[in-house]
Amino acid sequence: MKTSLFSILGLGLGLTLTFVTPNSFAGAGSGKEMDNGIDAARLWAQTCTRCHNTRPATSFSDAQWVVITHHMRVRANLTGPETKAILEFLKDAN
Amino acid sequence: MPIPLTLPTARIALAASVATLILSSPLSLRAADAGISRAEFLEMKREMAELRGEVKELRAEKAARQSSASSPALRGSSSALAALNQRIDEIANVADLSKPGENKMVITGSGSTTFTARNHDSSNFSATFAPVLLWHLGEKLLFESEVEFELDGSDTALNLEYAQLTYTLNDYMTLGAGKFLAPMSAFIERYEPKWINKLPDTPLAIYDGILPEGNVGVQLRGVIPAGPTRINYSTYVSNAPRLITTDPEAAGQLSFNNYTSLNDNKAVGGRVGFLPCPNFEVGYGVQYSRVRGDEGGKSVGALLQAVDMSTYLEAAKGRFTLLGEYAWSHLGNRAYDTGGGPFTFDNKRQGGYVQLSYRAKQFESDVLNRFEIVARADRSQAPHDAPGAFDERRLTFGLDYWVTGSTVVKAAYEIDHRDNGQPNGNAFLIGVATGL
Repeated sequence: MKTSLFSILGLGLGLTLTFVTPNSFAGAGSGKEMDNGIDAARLWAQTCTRCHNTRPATSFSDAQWVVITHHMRVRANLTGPETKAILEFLKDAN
Repeated sequence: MPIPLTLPTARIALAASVATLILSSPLSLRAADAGISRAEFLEMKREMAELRGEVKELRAEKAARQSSASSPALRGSSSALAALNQRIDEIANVADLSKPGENKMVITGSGSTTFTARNHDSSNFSATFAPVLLWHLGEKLLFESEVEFELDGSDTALNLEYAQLTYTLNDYMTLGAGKFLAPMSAFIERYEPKWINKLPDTPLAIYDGILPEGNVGVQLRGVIPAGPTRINYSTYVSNAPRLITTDPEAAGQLSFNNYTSLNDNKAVGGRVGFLPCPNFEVGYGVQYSRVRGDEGGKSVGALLQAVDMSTYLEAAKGRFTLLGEYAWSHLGNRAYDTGGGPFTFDNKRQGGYVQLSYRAKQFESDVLNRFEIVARADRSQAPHDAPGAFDERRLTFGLDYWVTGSTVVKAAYEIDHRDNGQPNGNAFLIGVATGL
């Protein structure tokens, strides 16, 4: 069974590396870029959906997003500039 | 020869001059040019006089108003109005500050209800409520805490899932202290919340198994961008778990709900994750400590390890998500005594899960886009000669309906197999969960 599980994990890794074009971590992209050159919309989509569905920007107030992005910075290991870019994106969309 | 100017002649000349002057006056000319008769001219003149009178009256009224405005009574009313406006502004500011988040505090979390019908067990409803408090104390300081209320028999269990103060050292590192979710396990840190976990229950071995769910201590965590890739990490020092030595059903297992460190034993551990691209991550977590039993005695080493992976792929008008984690533990040899005399066994345990899901996203039907199908294989393996130990394997199929992005109805059927004479625990589960 252990072998089977590892086989499935390996298969997943192989499929991913085979079919998924590795793209960069939301540096310069086609979306709206913040002052620090981060494509915030793309980063937001990449980072949040890794674990859960994204919530509409209107779900929380700007002030609440300040708190929540601080929390997610710690939990999701975001950098400071990335956190700031996502926060500004959410405020713009709110 | 000059004409002599007699009186009659002078009168006639004067009359003629006057007549000439009258007839040649500009007013007469304008009236004649405009075709206005003298009567009309006089009427206009009268109207003008009336207008002048009205203007004069209006000016008089205005002067009277200005005079009364400077009276003490009216000045008092104006002051009261200004004070009232100021008070309204103050109340509006207080109301703004009272909005959630405006004072840097947010309450979020989750709630869930699950119905479980398992073979050889009574069907049962259960419910949980897990509010999360986030307190933004400044640009660098954050306090976060989750308290879970869970129905347990005839009681309501209250568990402090985490309570941690974090300080941002720089753009890439954070220092935390308190009780935090076990950093060595990706599932526990990321996928356990009821509205995130795609199935109504949790995988074997990983949760309520051989890994801790939380640690009490300090942790340092962060991220290292490395070109087009990135590495994330966490390291921690925490209280060590306790070794169960006398319970006939659980001797040899670790109790992680041990918040008092025994004999200065501490656990050290961490996790390193590598993301070659944004949608793929592999990680390795480890924790080591010396552990003692309730009765004291010899301490033994407890090494816990886990590997995990996660990836997603946008395809077939939706998203495929593959998650997996496998953990194993090894405890040093020692004797156990559950009342029937001392015995020993090779204390190695292992288990994990693989989960594949597909969420429809781009179909024309909004209803269809709310469905997600899930399949999970998980297992746990314990030493056969350990008390109460048995191996278990499960295969679970689930169907989720996302009411909103954070509210989900989950249905699943679990095919369960247990060895060592244990009856299977096939189960039907339905759960509803929402993220606040």
